[in-house]
Formats: sequence, C-alpha cells, structure tokens
Amino acid sequence: MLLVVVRTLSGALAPVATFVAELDQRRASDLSSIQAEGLPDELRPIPRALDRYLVRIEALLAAERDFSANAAHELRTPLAVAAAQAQIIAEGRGGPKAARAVVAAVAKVTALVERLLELARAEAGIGREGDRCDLLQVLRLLIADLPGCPVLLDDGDLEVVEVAADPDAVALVLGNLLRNACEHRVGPVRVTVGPAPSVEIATPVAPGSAFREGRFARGAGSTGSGLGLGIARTTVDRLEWELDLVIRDGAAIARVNFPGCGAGFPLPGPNVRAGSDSG
Amino acid sequence: MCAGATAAGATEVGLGALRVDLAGRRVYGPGGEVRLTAREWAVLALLVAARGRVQSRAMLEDALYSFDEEIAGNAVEVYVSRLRGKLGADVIETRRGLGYLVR
Repeated sequence: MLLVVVRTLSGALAPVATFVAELDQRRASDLSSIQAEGLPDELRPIPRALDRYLVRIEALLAAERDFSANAAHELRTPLAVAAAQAQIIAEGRGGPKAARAVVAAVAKVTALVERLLELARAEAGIGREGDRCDLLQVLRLLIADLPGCPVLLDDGDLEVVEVAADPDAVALVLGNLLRNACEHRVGPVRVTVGPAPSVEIATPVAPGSAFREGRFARGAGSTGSGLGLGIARTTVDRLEWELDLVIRDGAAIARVNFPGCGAGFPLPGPNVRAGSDSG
Repeated sequence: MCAGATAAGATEVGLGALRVDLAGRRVYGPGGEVRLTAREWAVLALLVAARGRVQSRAMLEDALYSFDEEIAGNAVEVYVSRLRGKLGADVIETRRGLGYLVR
C-alpha cells in the first residue's frame, strides 16, 4: 500500500522536479518564458508569476542599456566639439571664438557628468539615515547659485522650516527642480514655502510646455541635461516624499512635500496686529 | 543711527553695529546672523538701498506687493515694527506723515 502511495506521489511530482531543474540550469542571461508543461493546475500561477517578473527584468535591462547608450551619445557630442576646437587652437588657427567654444563644451560635459553623478547618488539611496535641516537655508543657498535667473522666495513669513531630511537630499531634489524651472521659464520663478513642510516652485512657461521625466527627455530648444526631473523623482520616491508636477494656468508647478519635524512658527502677521506707528 | 560709508554697488552695508549683506540677503549683528523673513528683508533692502532718504509707506507697500496681491492696511507698520524688534529700535527712523528711513 505504501509503495503505491510513493509511486503515485513520485509520478505527480515529476513535472515539479523537471520545472525546478530547468530553473537551476538556466543561464543568468536567459530571460525567456518558463516552460510549465505537466505542472499541476494548482502550481501554474508560479511559472506565470515568474514570467511576469522576467518581463520586468528584461524591460529594466533594456532601459539600462538605453541609458548607457544615451549617456555616451550626450557626452560624445560636446567632447567632439571641444576636441575639434582644441585642434584648431593647437594649429594656431583658433582665436577667442575657438577658445570660448572649448570652454562652453567642457562646461556642458561637466554639467552632464554632475547630473549623472547625482543620478547615481539618487539611485544609491542618498539621505536614508535620519537627519534634519532648515528648508529655507537650503533654498537660499540654491537660489544664490542661480545667477541670471530671477527667483522670488516667499517663505510665508516663516523664519525656520525644519524638515526631517538630509540637507544633501533636499538640495539634490530642489536644486534640480529649480534648474529645470530656470531653464524653461518665460518669466520670474516663484518659490513658495509652506509650513506643512512643502515647497512649491511655479514657473511661467510657453504654451504647450510639459514636464518630461524620461531620462534625456527634453523639449525643443532645451539646453538642459534631460536628467534633472528624473533625479528629483528618483530621490523623492526612494525617500518616500511626495512630488507633484502639473501645468496649470500657464505655469509649470512642482510641489514637494517633505517629512516635517513639527510645523514652523509663523510670526504674527499684519492682519493680527494693529498698527501703532504711522510713518 | 549712523550707517557706515559704502561705495555705489557695494554688496555689504554697515548699519551701526549691523552688517547687511545685500547680495547674500543676510544681516549680521554682534551676536551673529539675524534671521529675517522674505517680507522683512524686502522692506529693509528698500530702506538700505535708499539710505538717508525717506521712503514713503506706498513705496514700502510696493515691495510687499511682490509677495501678495493684497496686503493689509497696516502691513508696513507691522514689518517695520518687527525689524526694529530684531535689529534694534533705532535702526529705522520714522518721519511722521512722510515715511521711514535708515541712516
């Protein structure tokens, strides 16, 4: 009787053993569909789930390949310009124009490499450890680093807005959003800080403008790296903050909600204090 | 209240014991940085830019309109009062009926 049970079970489990063996023997690069012939109906969801997982891995790998190819292409163009202009200078044929072209090309490469490094930091999980900083202080430093881009910082009459976040991560997100705003603005950029704590960056933009979060995705005429929004999104998602990007009433609005350390303390405003001085 | 002499286009202005960094939008006192809100800074920056000259209430209100479409009738008085509280009572002088100035 026992022998009958063992033989029956062995027969029933043979397809399972075949299935396990196929998985064990697979090469790491083999992402083809998994064969589930002979598996009992109760176990068929397993290969189907594995197939869906393999499809996601394939898509991820394809995206990584595209990213590497795009990054190489983006770097190659300004480097080729710099090399050509440097050659002209070396041959004694280049004037100030050639020198300026080299400087501009190197600056473009530098900016792109900085964004690539920021993306690597974002993907590596920057700022995971508990930390806190003053949102206003970070914003003031970032805005001071944007010469030629008029930015109105409305701090909501708050002196300090503490967030439970690493200042580097805050600067990474807001710096990229601010650079993006300055790149696409057709008017002054307005940054509004709320006690939630939150930051809203509103930028007047041309009709038909859109946020492009894809890597190296750029609108016509843009000179940005095409990485900034992706860096901001990756960092925000990893740290479980919130980022909303909307186009409304001719303005591109990026809003980030941060984890707070308790609300900031607004000072008594004009509406709650009677004037005592009539200058 | 005496302000230190500054060259045209200077980014730092001495204001008695205070040092006003116009480019960095910061104010430093004997005890270190004095934190100002953006609206407080807007009022102070206008007064410092026109040092020695009276700025009318309407002029100072214009600086506040860049933040809000509507402002309270006593907004200028409130921000001047706050600035005096932070920077010293005699930093901003009142010219009754005319406006305010720093020297």
